Amino acid sequence: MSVFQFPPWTNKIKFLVGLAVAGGGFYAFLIVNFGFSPATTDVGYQPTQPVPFSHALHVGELGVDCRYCHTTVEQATHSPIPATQTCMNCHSKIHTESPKLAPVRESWKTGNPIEWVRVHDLPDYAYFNHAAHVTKGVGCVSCHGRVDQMEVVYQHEPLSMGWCLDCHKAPEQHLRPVEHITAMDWKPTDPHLGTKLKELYNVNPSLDCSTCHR
Amino acid sequence: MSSIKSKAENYWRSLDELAENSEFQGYLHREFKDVNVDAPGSVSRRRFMQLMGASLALSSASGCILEGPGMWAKEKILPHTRRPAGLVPGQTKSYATLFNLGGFSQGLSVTSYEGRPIKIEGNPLHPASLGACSTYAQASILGLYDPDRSQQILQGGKPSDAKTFDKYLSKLLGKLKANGGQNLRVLAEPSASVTLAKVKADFLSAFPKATWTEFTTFNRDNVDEGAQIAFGAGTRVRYNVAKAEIIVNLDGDFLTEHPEALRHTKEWGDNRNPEAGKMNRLYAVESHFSSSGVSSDHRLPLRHEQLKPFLLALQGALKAHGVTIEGPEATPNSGFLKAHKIAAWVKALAKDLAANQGKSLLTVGYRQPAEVHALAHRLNVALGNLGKTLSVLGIAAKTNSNQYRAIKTLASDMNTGKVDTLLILGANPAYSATGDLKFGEAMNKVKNKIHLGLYANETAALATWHLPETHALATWSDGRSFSGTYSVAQPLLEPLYKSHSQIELLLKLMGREDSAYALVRATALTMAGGNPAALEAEKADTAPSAANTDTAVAAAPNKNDRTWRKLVQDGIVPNTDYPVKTDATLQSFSITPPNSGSLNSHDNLKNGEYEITFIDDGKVYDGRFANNGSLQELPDFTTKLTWDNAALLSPSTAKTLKVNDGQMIKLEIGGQSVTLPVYTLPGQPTGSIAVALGYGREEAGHVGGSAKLSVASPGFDVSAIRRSSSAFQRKGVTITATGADYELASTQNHHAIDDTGYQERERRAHTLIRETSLAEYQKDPGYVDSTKYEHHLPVIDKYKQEQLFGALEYKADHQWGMSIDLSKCNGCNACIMACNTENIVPVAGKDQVLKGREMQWLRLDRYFAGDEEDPTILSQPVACVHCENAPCEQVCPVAATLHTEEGLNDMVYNRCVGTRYCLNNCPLKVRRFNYHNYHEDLKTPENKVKTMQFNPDVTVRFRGVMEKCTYCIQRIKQAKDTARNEKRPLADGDITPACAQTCGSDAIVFGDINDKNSRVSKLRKLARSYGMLGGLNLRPRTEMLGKIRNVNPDLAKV
Repeated sequence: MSVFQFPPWTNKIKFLVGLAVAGGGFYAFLIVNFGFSPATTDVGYQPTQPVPFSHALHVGELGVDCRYCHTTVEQATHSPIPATQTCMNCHSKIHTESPKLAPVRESWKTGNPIEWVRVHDLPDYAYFNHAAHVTKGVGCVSCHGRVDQMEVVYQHEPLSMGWCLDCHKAPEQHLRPVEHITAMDWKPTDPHLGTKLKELYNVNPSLDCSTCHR
Repeated sequence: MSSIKSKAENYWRSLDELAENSEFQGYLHREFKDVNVDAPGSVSRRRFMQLMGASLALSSASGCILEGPGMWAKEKILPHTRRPAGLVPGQTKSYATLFNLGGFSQGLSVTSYEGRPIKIEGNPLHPASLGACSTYAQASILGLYDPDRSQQILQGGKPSDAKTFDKYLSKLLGKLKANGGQNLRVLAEPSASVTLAKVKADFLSAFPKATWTEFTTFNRDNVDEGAQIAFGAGTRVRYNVAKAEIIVNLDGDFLTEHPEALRHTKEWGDNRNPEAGKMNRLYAVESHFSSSGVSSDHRLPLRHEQLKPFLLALQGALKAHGVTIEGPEATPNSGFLKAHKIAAWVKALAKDLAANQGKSLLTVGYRQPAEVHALAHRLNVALGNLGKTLSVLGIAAKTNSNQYRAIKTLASDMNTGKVDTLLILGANPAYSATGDLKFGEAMNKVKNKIHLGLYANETAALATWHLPETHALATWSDGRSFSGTYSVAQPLLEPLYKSHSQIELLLKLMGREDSAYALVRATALTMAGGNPAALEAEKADTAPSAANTDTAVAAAPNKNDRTWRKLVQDGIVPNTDYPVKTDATLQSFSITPPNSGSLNSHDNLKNGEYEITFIDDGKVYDGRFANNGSLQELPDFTTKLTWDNAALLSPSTAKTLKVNDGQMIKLEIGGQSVTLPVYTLPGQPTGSIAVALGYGREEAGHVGGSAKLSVASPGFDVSAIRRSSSAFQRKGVTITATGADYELASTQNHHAIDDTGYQERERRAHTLIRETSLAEYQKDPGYVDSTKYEHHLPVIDKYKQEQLFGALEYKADHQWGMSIDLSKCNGCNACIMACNTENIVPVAGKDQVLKGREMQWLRLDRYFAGDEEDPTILSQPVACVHCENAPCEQVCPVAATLHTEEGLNDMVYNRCVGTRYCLNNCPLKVRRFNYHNYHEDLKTPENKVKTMQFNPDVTVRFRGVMEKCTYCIQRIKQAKDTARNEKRPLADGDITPACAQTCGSDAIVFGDINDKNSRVSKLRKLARSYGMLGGLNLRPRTEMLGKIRNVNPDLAKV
């Protein structure tokens, strides 16, 4: 009975195969680590909006509180985009002829909604709750960045599962007194404040899957 | 203990199992019956694609479009232009409304998410629902979004438009107005609506020569006529089950079929606590296994026709016990009594009833003739029950004739040319009228036929014009419950299509401009004691739909508006019940002697003398829900049949006829015949065949069958052998086997937990179910103790279990658990429907059910015990029990199923790779695998409407993903959010999973087992609380409470 033996010419390609395997592994490593990384695909995502609304102007310069527009952020899972009516509270009197505001006036007149483009888009199987975070002392800036300095809003954080879990494992780094929840430039004066607030607000973020996935 | 042991040897799940049939062996050895687990591409697979039930698709995930963030498509956010007051985006709200069926209303509380209703529950304030909800009402949400619903006006079956119809109508109306409605007939279903009744009266005075006929298949004319014979005209009998210690349910189902069934169930369940030392005792004497029969302590199978002699015999026996009864009738001869177990039953029943005078109750089902009802009323009165366990309500005296007689008259008028114009409101007589009337042929003789209906069905196909009807959830209406409670039905959304409600169409025919809303509001305010004259003057409230908060009620501009907003918010107008007639007395009447055939013992019955009864199987009703896949796939609670009806035969009848399950038989009577498959149901009376109505529809839709779309219809239509003179029973059926076979999709052997061997079955049945009598339980409260039934592993510390991969600790404050009381489950299937609609459970289709791939997360296991001809049934709800020591978790290679700190067994869909190891390792077989993309149909635009029902808080599962009960995790989260917003700790009762919420008898209780005072903790501490398969040390979070039957010692040995 003959036993199979590799023919001699295979010796020549041994090196090439070895290189392909090692190189392929390295390539896969690069793709998974960088190509699929949320940092590569998401952070900095800055779509063009139908209305050139400037958070830098409204929040940064004029000092409008986040909750003036994003009203139910403290009660509900969603932090809603404001109704056209909210815009018109002021803009029925200010800049009533501005061409930039034409879509807003159009929406107000026709009753058709303004079609904003979603910037912070979580997958449909992840259930994020704004109220649960905001009422426990996680500030807006922690996830959305310095919105008060953004002319056009972009995604500041990766919003990946690993990023969520970093905070769920060590929430004290991101806690602040609830009265400063919308303050964009708040800095802790006491280095141990986070730990104290964690105690005070009874913050024990769960790491269970069903916390976010149902 | 000895009685348990002897019973233990008798449990069996089906006749196959009892017979050690090779088919059941197939189920034992494999998870799925079919070896070829995935054979797509066949014709049946395409059929299955058509059958997808109400569930959603993957929104617009059309590949990797990198224009959006990350890997998915760009999404738009469309905010309101003006946000309605009180609306919080992303949060659900509940609104009170009504479900009307058969002329009675049931209060609903409908959950709405941003303007689209997604879930139906019972209105806790409504006396006919008390927070629970029937299967039909819950499933009607799927009907709202059924893409097969009629969407446009049809002329002679072809699409037309409103303009052409209006032109036709004005010509027709001109003629009708001139002749006062000569030869105009209206056929409608009986309605609970007071406003419709008013509009009807207006219509009849506008067209004085017109006639109005009411008809529905499962009408309660027999019941009404029975009350009339017994208590005089204008009476209705209402039961007070709470006070009844002895209940005798006679060939009906007071726990599911009655218009007040939910209240009965609650009151019956409240008195099923053996720990209270006393339980009610339920007897069932019936021709078909009803849910009352399943729940009963004693059951006697009896042919439909035998109930009259049975009651006469009971009357005689009660007289012998010294009960004064006026009746002159003779007791049937001893030959009748000798048969079967009847004599023993009559004796024991008479003794029990005589000993419990004033605390007993006899109820009769609507299929029995009026005389039998009157007779039962007489016995109730003689036993002193009047004013205690039943009361007589004064209602408006009935003016219209019996519905089956009325439709017969209508059909003969149509045949003799006395009808020129036929207006059909909602009804589907071409399908539902009995075969003798040949209603379809009669329709061809009518010139103008206008049909208003939710579907372009069989009747629409024959009509000159078909108009789409507005769904009940999209229009203003009202209704009265069985006891008279008046409620307003408010719309939950704008009509999806251009359509008319019945009220709107009648107004249009009368040329009136007023809106249904204004009329309903005026009726409601009148019912609430307002002054109708004052209403005329004032402007109608413009913002009623915002009226679901107390602030909105207070903000209403005037008193009438405040009253209106309040009654719309609550869903009831208090103090509108029909008055109790305290002076009601029993009339004198006599009962015609029973015919000799009914006295025949079943042993003497020959082929050709059999009777057939026509039943409502709780799924498709009279056929109107035939296009509802979720209902079609609901396993019948006794037969476990899905997608079909069958001729239900007792095992002995089947033996006599030499037929087996799935063989086609021809039922022949009076020259007419129908052919349908056999299904042997233990407990069916010998010589009595039961067949469910509502199947075999010709024009129902993509699910319920349609000749037009060439979709085969599930089940078989038996109208041909029905007669309007005897609508629910016929005698003298000849049965012949045709030799053909038919595949019935029954789930009865699926998920057979018994995996180690058939010989072990008796012993192992008791690892799952435990049952005993009240007396035995009081003697031995710990009868359920697992160690008595199986080898038991030593129990280690609570909340700390050694696991293969390290110890799990349950540290969180809340530890969720559930308790299911088998003594209170009546097998009504409402919990399954609640779960289906809450959790977007897909419909798999008949061919998938045949492979054991039904998707319902919750199932009702049905166990027979005892004699094959006269068994008892134990019904056990089984969903994931959330084992603390879960075997599924230990085998998942990707950690897609694992425990939370609160004791939930999580299923992480987006991690699941579909190995199905967890399913194989689950000892209770509660996991469901998505073999196909059950939402594929949603890719077509016309089916997109189904997605409107989807609960936004539940993930839609894709092909290749495992799923199972989550204890309604979304509800746990919501309750926690609410408590946090209100800055208070979670209270017991804040969280109710969908199944527990809808359970009429509160058999399912959920809560925190860490909280010593929670209901679930207390129930789990009862001596009869046990975990299924205790010997495996699963430590399930769902525990069962053993079934206790309140056995009458006199009947125990019969």
